[in-house]
Amino acid sequence: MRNAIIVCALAVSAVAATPPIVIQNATILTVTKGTLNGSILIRDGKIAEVGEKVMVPAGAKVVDASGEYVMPGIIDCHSHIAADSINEGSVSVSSMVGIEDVLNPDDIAIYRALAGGVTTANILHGSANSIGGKCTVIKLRWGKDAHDMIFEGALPGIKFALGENPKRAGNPTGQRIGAGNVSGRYPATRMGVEDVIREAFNEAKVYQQSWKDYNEKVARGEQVPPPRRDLKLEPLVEVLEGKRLVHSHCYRADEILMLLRVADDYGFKIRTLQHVLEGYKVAKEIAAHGAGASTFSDWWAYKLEAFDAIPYNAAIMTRKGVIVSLNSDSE
Amino acid sequence: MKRLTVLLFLSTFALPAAPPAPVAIRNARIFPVNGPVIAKGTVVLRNGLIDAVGVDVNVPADAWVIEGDGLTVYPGLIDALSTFGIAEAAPTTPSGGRGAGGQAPAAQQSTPSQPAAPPARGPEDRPYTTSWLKAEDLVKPTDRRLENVRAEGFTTAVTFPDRGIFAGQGAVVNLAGETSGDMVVSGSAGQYVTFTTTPGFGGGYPNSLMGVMAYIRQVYLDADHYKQAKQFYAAHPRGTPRPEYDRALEGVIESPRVLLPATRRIDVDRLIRFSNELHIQALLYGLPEGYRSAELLKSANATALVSLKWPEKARDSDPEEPDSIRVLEIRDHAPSTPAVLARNGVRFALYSGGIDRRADLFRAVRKAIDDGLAPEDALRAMTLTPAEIYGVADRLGSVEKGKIANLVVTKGDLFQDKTEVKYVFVDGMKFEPVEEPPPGRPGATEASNPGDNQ
Repeated sequence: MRNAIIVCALAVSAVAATPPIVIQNATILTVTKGTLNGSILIRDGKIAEVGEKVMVPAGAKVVDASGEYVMPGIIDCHSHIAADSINEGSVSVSSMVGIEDVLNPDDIAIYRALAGGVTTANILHGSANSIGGKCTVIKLRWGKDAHDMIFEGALPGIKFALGENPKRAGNPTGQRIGAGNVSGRYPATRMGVEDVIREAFNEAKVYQQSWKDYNEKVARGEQVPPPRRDLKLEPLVEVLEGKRLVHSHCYRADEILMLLRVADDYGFKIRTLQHVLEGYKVAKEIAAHGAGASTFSDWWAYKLEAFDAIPYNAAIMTRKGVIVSLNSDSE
Repeated sequence: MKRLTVLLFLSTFALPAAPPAPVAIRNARIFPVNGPVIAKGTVVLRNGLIDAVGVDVNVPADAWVIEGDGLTVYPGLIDALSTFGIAEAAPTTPSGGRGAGGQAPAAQQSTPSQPAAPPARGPEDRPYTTSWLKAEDLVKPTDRRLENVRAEGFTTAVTFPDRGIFAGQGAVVNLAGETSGDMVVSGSAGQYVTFTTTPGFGGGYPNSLMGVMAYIRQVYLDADHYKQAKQFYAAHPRGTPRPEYDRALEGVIESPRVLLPATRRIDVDRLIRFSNELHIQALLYGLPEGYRSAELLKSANATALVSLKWPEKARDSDPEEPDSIRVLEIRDHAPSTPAVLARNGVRFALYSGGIDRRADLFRAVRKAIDDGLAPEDALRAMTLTPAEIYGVADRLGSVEKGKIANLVVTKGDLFQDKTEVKYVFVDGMKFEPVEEPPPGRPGATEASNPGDNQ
């Protein structure tokens, strides 16, 4: 735990263009090049040198880490911190909304996540919708303004969700539910979830084509009014064009395969499967599609669709060639 | 003399065509706001306008004279964000701000007898939008609050429809008049926006802050597209399908500025970025955490409307539930916001936040003064600055020749507890305020509070 604190404290102070920092006498877990005992030189917010012996520049701040470990800052692939709202749960396709609009740098959870060693997090929209809102990758730059937390250059994402959560607000009767003042929202079944995703991408393809046609006409010198911009469909066109990554909440093997098939049909990729507790059952198919898997280390059986989870999920998926990460799902 | 004056004004009410008789207030202390204090001067009002002001002003022969010894003349106060004059809007708790959910869509409000409209499926259903409503069409001189509000020194309010995301357009109105039309000084004050959400899932779009923001963004994109489509249609009416008339977009397009709710510092940061992105002229309102936001506001050259209704613990809050340190901090520091903004050169106006008792209003202003706001800055933020913000400084906001005869005449300094508001002039019409007694339990007297004298 203490080791992790060293990592993040450095990450924060380094961004502020302070003098160079040298961490000496540490056990360094490089991840890519094994473990070594030595030093790290940090300059202008970047790792300048790693090795058994590192030159100490004049004016550098020296940290003696004897008996301590240094590792890369933890990257949390599934987090809900640092945002003032998470779920636009009113509709089954909420791709018009985005976490970037509501980032909150004052959220104390940022500080707590830093204390746990997390320096980067993928802030995901909630899982109430078959197609959810846009996601943002942030660096946990505590003390900076919202916009300064955004990880420059990280590809933007979008949340999808399968299974119980997106169909829970649904109602098979199509009638009003609750106290009679809440209407049942489509879909109410797993079949319906697939249908919602397919219909949304059918719409997105028509929309994409309308802009292609318009741009061609303009290029030919024709005078035509432009199509209406649609904030719900624009992110889906970006998905189709590979400019936005899909992070899909899922549990069961059957729905995982369903989503991979839908993606193949429409010609886009699923970047990560989130939770993916039955991923071990279809690990080869996940690997073949090229999707990553972001799962829990030891949390399951909290609802029916999490029943078939096993503690070997991450290990089995890794062995079958899936890129696996462990996430916090923290709020 | 006084009785005669009253009688005369009563007869003026009966004959709306006749302007109020000329009035001269002589030998009074005058705070013109646009210039230095006049220790002893005269103000002449004629035809509802300020006819003359200064030290060497002659009292016209036909003017009713008010002896100003011991009296102070100020410009009438302007409530920079209000619902005063719109009777339906009372009670006056502003609906703005996060979590102001629970409101039915506007379509349902206007026709309560009809079955509830289906939940909004998305931005295309224009949820919580009545952008076409105009305050100038809604104000009535019969709003019961007006008498109390004038007793606070308010002669003008920039009043808005207050329900919904795009609630409607404001107007600058004087707080007295024979007819609704008498009250209106200027329309097109701006579009009032709140971050209204539907509670829970399945109740309709939007139910989150990011949903509201996405909705607002889509509306401005649609407004741009609508303008383009209409232009194109005007140029090529033959052979072009005509664009559908959209009153929601018409209302947004004709609003010269947009009022956005900013509670915390993050809201200020977020909404400055948002209004730059949308190319709208924004006025941020609320600002209880404005004391942390001055440098953001200054560097964006933004304008703030600060609510005088300082945050307090809700009366019905659970005493077992402790407040977070952030909440306590904001409650403690909020009244320092005007002083911090003034020190940093941020343009701001103060608004009542619905406070409609003189004692409460003065106490709220004094809290800001106690936290470092210069009294003259407080006065300016309730007179000339709001007039400038809304583009009516040529008519309102100072005691100057040619401006509308809106004045407050006090015995004692404005905003002091013991100060008496002697007269209020609206469009040259004199009112002698009678303040409503403080609300209390019937029968409750000082004697019934045995702890008081111990």
